[in-house]
This record gives sequence, structure tokens and C-alpha cells, in this order.
Amino acid sequence: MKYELTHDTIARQIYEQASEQLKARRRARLIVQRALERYQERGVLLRQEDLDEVRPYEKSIRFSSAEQQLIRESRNALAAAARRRRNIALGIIALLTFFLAVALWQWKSAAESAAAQRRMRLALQADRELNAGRPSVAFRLAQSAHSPRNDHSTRSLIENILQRLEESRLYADLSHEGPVTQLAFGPQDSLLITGSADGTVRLWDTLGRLRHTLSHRAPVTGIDLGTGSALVSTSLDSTIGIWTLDGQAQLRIPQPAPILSVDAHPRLPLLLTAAADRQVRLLDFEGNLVKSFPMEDTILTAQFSPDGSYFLIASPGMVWVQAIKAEGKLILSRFRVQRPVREASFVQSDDARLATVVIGKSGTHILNSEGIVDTTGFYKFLNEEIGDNPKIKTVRFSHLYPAQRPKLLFVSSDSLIQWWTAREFDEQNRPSGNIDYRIHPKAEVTWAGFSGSNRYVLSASGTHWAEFWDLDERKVSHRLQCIIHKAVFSTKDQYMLTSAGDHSAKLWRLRTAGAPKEFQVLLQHFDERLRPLLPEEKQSFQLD
Amino acid sequence: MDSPFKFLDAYEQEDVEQFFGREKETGQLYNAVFSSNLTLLYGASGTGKTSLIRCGLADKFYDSDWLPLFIRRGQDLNRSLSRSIRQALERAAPEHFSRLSITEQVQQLYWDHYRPIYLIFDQFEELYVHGSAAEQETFYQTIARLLTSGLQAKVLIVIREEWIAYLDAFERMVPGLFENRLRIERMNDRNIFRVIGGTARYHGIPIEEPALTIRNIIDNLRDRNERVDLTNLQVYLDRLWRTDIEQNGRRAEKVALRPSLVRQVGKLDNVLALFLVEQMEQLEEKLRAREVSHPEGLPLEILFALVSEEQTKSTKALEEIRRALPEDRRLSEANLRFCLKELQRIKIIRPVE
Repeated sequence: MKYELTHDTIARQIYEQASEQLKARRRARLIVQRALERYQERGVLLRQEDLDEVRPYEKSIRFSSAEQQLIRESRNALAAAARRRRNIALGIIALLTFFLAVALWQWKSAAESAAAQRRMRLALQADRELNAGRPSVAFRLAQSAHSPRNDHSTRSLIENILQRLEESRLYADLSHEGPVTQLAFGPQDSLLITGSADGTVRLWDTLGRLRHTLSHRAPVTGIDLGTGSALVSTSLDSTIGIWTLDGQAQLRIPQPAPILSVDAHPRLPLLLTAAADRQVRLLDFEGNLVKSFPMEDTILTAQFSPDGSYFLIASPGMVWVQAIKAEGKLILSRFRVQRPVREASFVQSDDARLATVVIGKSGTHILNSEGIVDTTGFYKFLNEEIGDNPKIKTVRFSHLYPAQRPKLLFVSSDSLIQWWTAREFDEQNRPSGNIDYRIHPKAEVTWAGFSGSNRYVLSASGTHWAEFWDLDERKVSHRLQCIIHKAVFSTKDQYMLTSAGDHSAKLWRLRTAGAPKEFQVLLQHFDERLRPLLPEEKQSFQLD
Repeated sequence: MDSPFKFLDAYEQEDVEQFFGREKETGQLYNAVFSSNLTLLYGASGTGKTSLIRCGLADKFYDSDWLPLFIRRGQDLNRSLSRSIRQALERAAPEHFSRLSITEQVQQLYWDHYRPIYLIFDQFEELYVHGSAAEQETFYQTIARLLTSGLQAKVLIVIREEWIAYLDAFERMVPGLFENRLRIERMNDRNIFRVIGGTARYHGIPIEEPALTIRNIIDNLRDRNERVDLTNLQVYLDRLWRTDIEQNGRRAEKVALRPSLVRQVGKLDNVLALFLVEQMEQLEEKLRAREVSHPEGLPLEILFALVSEEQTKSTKALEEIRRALPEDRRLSEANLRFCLKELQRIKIIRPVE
């Protein structure tokens, strides 16, 4: 017996009254029924969305065992497919990770290799720079080239460079943006002062750290320390700057013309400037003009004597010496020199007997304050020694070393360096002197002079080597590989400050004994070779 | 008290005394089946297609001229056809009967009765609601062969008009399908008037102020489209009858249709839906009395099992209905049978062979 509704109209009514849940359950049942037919005909299983629709009613529908089996099989198949998909995805991820790792490794190797080559080139460049006498550049290049991953040859080269640098005694590199032209030590050698064509004066501590920068608007032409630790600077911007040593501007004195040089009086608040308008001006520290001295020709030099009793102005045709009394009064003392003057200076050691060295075209003479060739005492012998020698290019006097025994160092134009010591008496009990030593560098002499203590003579030449001669021992005490165009020394010969026409000044340590504690620390750093010389200034050099 | 009205059941030949309003259509159908071996009858749901054939058309024939086989799809239309033929045989079917083709089986049947055979496929849309493509194809071929066999067999296809488009494939196999067709229109007011008057008279229910009463009934039954559904009419008449008994305390033989009663029941938007809800509640009460726990919604779930996804009726056996109920609302077989019996009593379902 079967049953049916009496009419389709009732069927519609019942369908409308039936709850959504009833309809959904009906749909779920139909889904499985139809799926079973499909499965039996074509072996097609239920899809995931069908299973999702069936799941909520699975317990409330009386499925046949075939239908239950179909649901189970479909579920298992879908789970297996999901596992396959997940495994495939995992496989792809693993494969991609592997390829990525290989790519990264190759990229890293390539980068490593490029970096290693770059470091080798830097080391070679450092070697070339060191051979060319530029140890600071060489040091920084070696520093940039250093890496724990360097191969043996690069490491050996860097070690070699550092060993040679260690021997070179280079201590610090003081950088400017233009050629360094002015060098000075501050009071008690606690400060380094450099002036440059970049228009700045820079103050550094003895560790080589920049402390202050003082600015002009044109190249700096002179720096000097006046009384009361005032720092004086002159520039082509036609001003004189007076500064405190902690970098404060005290006074800016405008001048009618660019200033070429300046000398500060050792005791009195006086400045002597040479200007481009051929005027030498004597000024006080307030900027007041005491007196100006017009010159007919180019000004070769304008300087105070070591004790400040005189000042000297030299031009090719005239030498002008003037005495200064304690209260600043001037006493005229002026003479003309017949022969063209190339250089004039005070004899550093001889305050009692003022002399002027005139190097003319025809010879070198030491003149007295009247402008006459000095024939008294051992100057007579000195004049005899150097007289009428047209080859003399530079003359330097030492301070008294030892007491009352002046030394003179002169450089011939044929690169012969000689120094001469005055002696009180010769065998015949006459005042005399003699040539102590002659050296003949293989290249042109770039700079020669006495050290701060006057114990050493430094000779630098185009060979890119500088030698320190111990005057007592009469031998070379040490050699430095460097170029020196200008050098100044600290008073006890601990440090030397040099320039070579490049954009830096270099500080060298000459004696390790007695060096301040921080220097020792730094020396240890230096000895560790690969540590930055000065951490604050660490920078990398790039090859061109 | 059971309702005297036909309710939603189709009219059978014996109901001809209470079958009103379709005299014209009955004549048209009678002419149509005579003019061709294949007739297509279609119309909207609730227009009385089945009643027209089972009652109107059947009554036109003498028994000697007419061997009607009413065939519903059941599980498979082709098998149902064969089974119907076998059951119609006077004598026991020969052994090889099942191996015969349908044409041969019809031939056998004809020889058995010597009467023209009318194969009437009612609710033909079921072939499309439930049938497979193969089942449809087989059926078309069978009909095509039968129609060209020269046998004394006529085919009448009865289908709801919204399914008519599905006949396309059938027409390709049987090109004359639409040549002899008849559409049953909705009944007009005049005929409805006659139906109400005739039905009341048939059941011995007097109508006071008939013109006004019937007019009011028709007005109360109009839907938004001003149409009157015949199924609703039967339900409405039942409601009037029951209201007079249950609320006004009249005895059944004293019930009379009158304007005041019509006003009392009033206009009902969906009288069938209301009827259903009420009947379901009553059935739930009865189930509760039979100590069924939580019977709420159970009758509706039973009925829902008899509705197809296409919102048409669906024939099901007791066990199928039981299986369609959710696991947690299992009814004992006795209770289910009780429900089905009750639903039968209120004429919502009927048993089918």
C-alpha cells in the first residue's frame, strides 16, 4: 500500500509550511541519493560542498548502508586528496626553499668573492700608497682591506703594510678639505693647530681628535700664538682673526689687503703682518695700527727676533731691522743690501750678537745689525765657510745646544745638507767652528731642520724617506717613510707635525718613552694593527 | 463528524450526480478522444482535469465501448503500464506475457475484452519530476509504436500546463502530440455558482437567500487575481459546514448555508493553509493522547515526505515514509499507520495501488 496527497495544491501548501531545516534535510537526503546513482553509474564520489551540506543532518537521516558507505568513501577520498595537495604544497615549498638557499649561497659566494677581490685591490693600493710615502692613506686602505675572511696572500700583504706602518711611527692624520699650509703646536704641546687653503684653522687634541674649526672665507696664510695664549690667524680674505684656544672668536680685524703672513711678538701684544699691498704693519691685539712699513718690492719675510727685541723685514733689495724697547718704542735700524736678498732671518741662538743671514744670488753671508758681513768671533769662520757659496738654498740656525754652541744647518741647491758647529776655541785657542756632517740624499731635499730640542736634524727628500740624525751620536737614529714639505716639533721631540701639500697634516710620535698614558693606550691599539687608529675618524677608502 | 464534501479527491464516475459546471468541457473531451487516437489534455492545477476524465468522460461511455486504464507513473511508467494491462486482463496472463511488447500486450488485452482500450496517463508530469531520461525515451517509443499499430487503443495524456514544455522530446518522437489537444480553463463565476448550488443540493443542505449567499461565498474565495480555486471552494464549503456544527451547535442535518454563516466564516486568504494547520494541531493532540512524546510537527513531517522537491505530490510506501522521518523522531508503525489513517479521513492523503 502506498500513499499520496490528494492534490498538488496540498503539496505546495505543505512545502510552504515546512521549516527550512526540514527542506535542508530533504536536500541532504536527495544529494546522497543522487550521488549514489552517479556513483553506481560512473563511480563519481560526493564533492566537498555536498558533504558540507549533508554533515549537519547525517545523524538524523536514515541513510542506507550503501549511502553511508558512499559518504565514508567520499570523505576518505577528499581527505586523501587534501593530504596530497598539502604534501604537494609542502614539496613545492621545500623545493623553493632549497632553490632559494642555493641561490642565496651562490649570491653570497659571488658577493664574498667580489668583496675578497675588492679587499685585495685595497691592500695593493695601500702598498702602493705606502711606497709613495703616503702612510696615512696606506693605513686607512689597509684598514678597509682587513677582514677575517681574507685569504693568506691578502692577509700577509696587510700584515706587511701594518708592520711597515708601525715602524713609520705615524700617529694621527689631521684632515682638511684643502692643502694644509700652516702647522703649530699649542702651549705645552697640548694642542695641534693646522691652517689650510680650505679657509679653516683647525684645533686638534694630541689624540688627533678635532676640537674646533675656525673659519675664514679664503685660504689661511698664517697662524701664530700671541701673548696670553691668543691664537692669531691671517687669511687672503683680508682679515686677522684672534681666537681663544677653545675656539671662541675674540676679534676679527679687517685689513686693507689680503694678508700673506703673520708673526706674534713673544712677550708684547704686538703683531707683524705682511700684506699683498706691500705693506708690513705692526698692530696691537685690539687691531690698532702701531706703524706700517711700505716696501718697494715683494716682502720676503717679516718677523720678530727670538727674544722679541727686534723685528726684521726683508725684500729682495732691502733688509730692515728695527729694535723694540720694553715699552714698545721703536728705534730705527735700517740698511740696504747691494745684492739681491733671497732669505733673511735671525740667528736663533744669539741674542747678544744680532746677526742677519742674507742669501744672495752670489753667496751667503751672515750680516750684523749694521748690514755688514760679521767678522767677529766664530761668525768670522762661518762666513769663511759659507761665504761666496752660491749653492746655498736654505739656512737654519738651532737654538743653543748645548749652551753657547750654536749650530747652523744649510742646504745646498745640489741637495747637499751640511751642519756646522761653532766652537769656542781651536787648537790655536782661537774662536772657530767646523762642518760636523755632510749628507747627500739621492733626491731633492724637501725639508731640513732642527728638532724642537735641537738634538736632531730632520732631513726629508724626494726619496719619500725622512731621516733623523742624532747630533750627539752622529748617526741616523730612525727613518720614516713619508713626504715632508713642512715640519714643526713639540718642544721635547715627542711629536712632529708635518704637511706635504696634500689635504692632511700628519702627527708622528718620535719617542715612546715618557709618552702620556693615552698615547700608550693608543700605541697598543696601533700594535694591534687592525684596530682603527682613531675610532672617531674611522672611514673607508674607495678605489678610484 | 466527517465532512460530506468531496474535498480534494477527484470525482469518480459514481459522483456524476454531484459533478457540476464542466458539461461543456466534457463534451469537448468526448469529441477529442473520438477524433484521434492521441489526445493531450492540459490545464492549471486545481482546474479538475482528473475529475473531468474519471467522472465526466467516463459517464459518456457505455461500459461496452470503454475500457479505461488509469495509469500513474509509480516507480517506472513503462512497468506501471505493463502492470495495468496485466491487471486488466480478464483471464490469467499467459506465462510469456511479460516478454511481450506493450503493443502485443495491448493486443492481448483487446482480444480479452473486445472493447476499445483507453490508456489514460494522468499526472503525466510525474514522468518528468521523477523519471529518468531512459524511462522517458522508452515510453515515447512505446507510444509511437502503439499509435502506428492500428490497434483499438487510444492514448490520453493529462498534464499540468506548467510542464507542457517538457513534452518537446515526446513530440519529436510522436509528431501529432499537440494536434489534438484540449486546455481546461479555470471555471467562470456562473459555473462556480452552479457548482455551489448543485453541491449543496446534492448533500441536502439548504441555501437561504441563495443568490446572495453564493455570491458572498464566491467573493470570499477570490484571491488577489480575482480567481477562485476549486480546491479552495471544497475546503471553504467544508468550513462553513463545520462552523455551523461546531460553533453554532447545529446538527449535521440542520446545517444551512446562509449569509450570516458566510459572514461568520468571512474571507480567508488561504483557507487550505488554515485548514492544514488546524488539522495538524488536532492530529498532534491525538498523538499526544497515544502517548507519543513531542509530537509537535510530526504530522507535517509525514506529509512533507509525500511532497517532491518540485512541490508536487510524491507517492510513497509506509516504510519509505518512516525512513524519511528523522532518526530522533521515530514513530512506531502503529502510530504511523494511525497518522496515515487520520490524514486519509480528512481527505489530505489517499491510498494508491
